[in-house]
Amino acid sequence: MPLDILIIDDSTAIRKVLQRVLRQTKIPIAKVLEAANGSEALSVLAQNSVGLILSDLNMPVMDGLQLLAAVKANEAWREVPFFMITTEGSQAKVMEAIRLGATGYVLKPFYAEQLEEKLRAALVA
Amino acid sequence: MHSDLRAEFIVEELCAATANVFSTMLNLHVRPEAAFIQRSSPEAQDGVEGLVGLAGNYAGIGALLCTAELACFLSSCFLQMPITCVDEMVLDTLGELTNMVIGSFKNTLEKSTGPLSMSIPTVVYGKSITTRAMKHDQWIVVPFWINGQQLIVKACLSAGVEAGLGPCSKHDRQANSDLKV
Repeated sequence: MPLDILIIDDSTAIRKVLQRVLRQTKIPIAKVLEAANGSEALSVLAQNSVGLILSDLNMPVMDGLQLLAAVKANEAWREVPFFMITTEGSQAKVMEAIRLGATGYVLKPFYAEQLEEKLRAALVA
Repeated sequence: MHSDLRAEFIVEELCAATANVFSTMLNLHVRPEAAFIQRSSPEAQDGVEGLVGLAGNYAGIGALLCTAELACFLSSCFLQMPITCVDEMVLDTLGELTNMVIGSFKNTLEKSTGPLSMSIPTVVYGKSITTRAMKHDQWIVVPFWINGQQLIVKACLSAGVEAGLGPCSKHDRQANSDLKV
């Protein structure tokens, strides 16, 4: 069934690039929703049922780790696959994201194929 | 631990990070020109500059600087659409490219420096831009030529207060002096 996907990044440009990359994959997509930070993402989630979340880590207002914690604390959203897509590759941040329940961690820069492979593996599981 | 942070190492990692980001995200294969140390304030330049702050045992700034024309070209490659004038999307793209290049550089650097935190990027656009980093007396500069225009990738780093090493160790100064234009 086609998915609604939520992309959270403070960069409009990277949201556009991610949208394009997602549409080039074979992942069935119904709608792509966007938010510029974690706080906006929570508002979008409250009004939409999404099947996949892709979030940046370093963002103003509410960062990706805070958002991840809030998503996992909400019964309605905790099962939604949550991927961090970020430049931040430090071991501590990766471990923190995994501890909080992130499904996966994708480092920027990325090839479309790498992203698709990780997302498909999670969606099939 | 800190002895690894020589100018040559920084140049190598800035080049690797830039080449990787540009080939992966822009499908551009770039090659660096000869790197150099800039000790005085750089000459004022027109264009677009993205800046990211680094903090931890070492602190400083990483930056990308280019002409408005090149910023538009890079944005066109990134977004895969024609862009001819500097607008919000171009500034946003340059911020994101700076974030990715300096972020990748930081990820490698951390193996020598320990954890570093990184700021959200700042982008400046205008005429006669000069960047001056307080408490840092030298930039390591790596020029690239892309589409007939120059892209400058540069970083200034010195041991932070937490490291207790002062602004720059004698070893680092010597290593930096050895890097010739």
